[in-house]
Amino acid sequence: MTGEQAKEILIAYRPGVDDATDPEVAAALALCRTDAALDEWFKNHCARQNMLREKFRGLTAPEGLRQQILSEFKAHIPLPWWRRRAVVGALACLVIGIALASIWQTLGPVGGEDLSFNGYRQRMVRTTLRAYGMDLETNDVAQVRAYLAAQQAPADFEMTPALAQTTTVGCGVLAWQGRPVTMVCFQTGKPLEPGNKSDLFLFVIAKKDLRDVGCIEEKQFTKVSELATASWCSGDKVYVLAAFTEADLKQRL
Amino acid sequence: MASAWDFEGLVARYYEPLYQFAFSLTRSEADACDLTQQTFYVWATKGHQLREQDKVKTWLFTTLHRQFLESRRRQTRFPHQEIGTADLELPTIQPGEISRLDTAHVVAALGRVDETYQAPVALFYLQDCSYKEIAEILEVPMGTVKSRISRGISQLQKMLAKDLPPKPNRLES
Repeated sequence: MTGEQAKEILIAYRPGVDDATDPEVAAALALCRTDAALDEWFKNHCARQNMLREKFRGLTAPEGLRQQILSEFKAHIPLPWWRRRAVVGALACLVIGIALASIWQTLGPVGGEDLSFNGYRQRMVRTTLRAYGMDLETNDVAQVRAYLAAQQAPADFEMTPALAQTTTVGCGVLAWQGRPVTMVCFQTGKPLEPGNKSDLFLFVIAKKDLRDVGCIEEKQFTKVSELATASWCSGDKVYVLAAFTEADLKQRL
Repeated sequence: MASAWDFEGLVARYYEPLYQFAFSLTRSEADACDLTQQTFYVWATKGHQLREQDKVKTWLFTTLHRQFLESRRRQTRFPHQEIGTADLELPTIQPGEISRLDTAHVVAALGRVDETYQAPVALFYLQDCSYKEIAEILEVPMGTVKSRISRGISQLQKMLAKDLPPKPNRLES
């Protein structure tokens, strides 16, 4: 590792916060101990970072914001049933319980988000379109599987013969309700838009991590945002394949 | 619905950090207050549906960030970018020079950093969130978070270096 490579790693390293046992960080820190100039740079960098952290934390909320939030809560959110003695009886408790259970079971939105399979599929596509990035870039599927397995993401996914023939370019690990989702990125061979490295995406999640998927016997084809998607279940996993054109998608199934 | 007692405790604990994050994104007190209030409103009405209670902090920050994005109607695709050495070169600023700047100046400088990098950098400095938490809040892969933070720090420090007043010339006797 060179001094410049060590600097790249240490720019975003926060002593006491980030994991110093990360192999790259540990190697960079070890180099600091033997390279006086690098050590001096790192000490200055940490001092600058601490100053900046202090500046950001100097932001203070306006007086009254907390009270305003609480007032809004009282004004718009009805009191819970156990505090409305005159109104609520046993029947109301039962109704509320059934209603809440029903909402829970039917996957109502959390934080404005649809928690159904449809919501999952939309989130994966939106995330890819808005913030596409790979954790690992490689054409080697074995390396992709090894990386995903190390991240506790679904790694033993199946690929259709046509998909297995498509060039793999890397992978990433996304999250759905705190559960890992595998994203494998491919290239169809068509010209890519500037800045993009992939135009075909396979998302894999364990079936148990989705609430309502059941089992999609037939492949479902749905347009989500600007991507065409195909969804299906196989074994204990749920697959979503997304491409920019329906033709690209169907050729890989 | 979240109970009133839970709600008050949650507000006491998180309204300030949420406001700080919101202000870092909007650089407007009114907009930051609105975002913070709206976040707690969403919690009050839907927070009970969160299954993992240890995810409350991440949930609140994710909700605020989503609302910010929605308010900006940003659907731009951010291409994946490799970390290049040249872009990560940091300007030479002494820590003492940063100490002369006030918070408003630093936040204003963050506003001139590429939008893609603003939220990760704000979370990096404000909350001591782990990379995993930042990735969850922003709903992007961990590798992307690291890349954006590194680039964002570099850009921020370049902005600050430009803003620093010139060092006074020493008078020769």
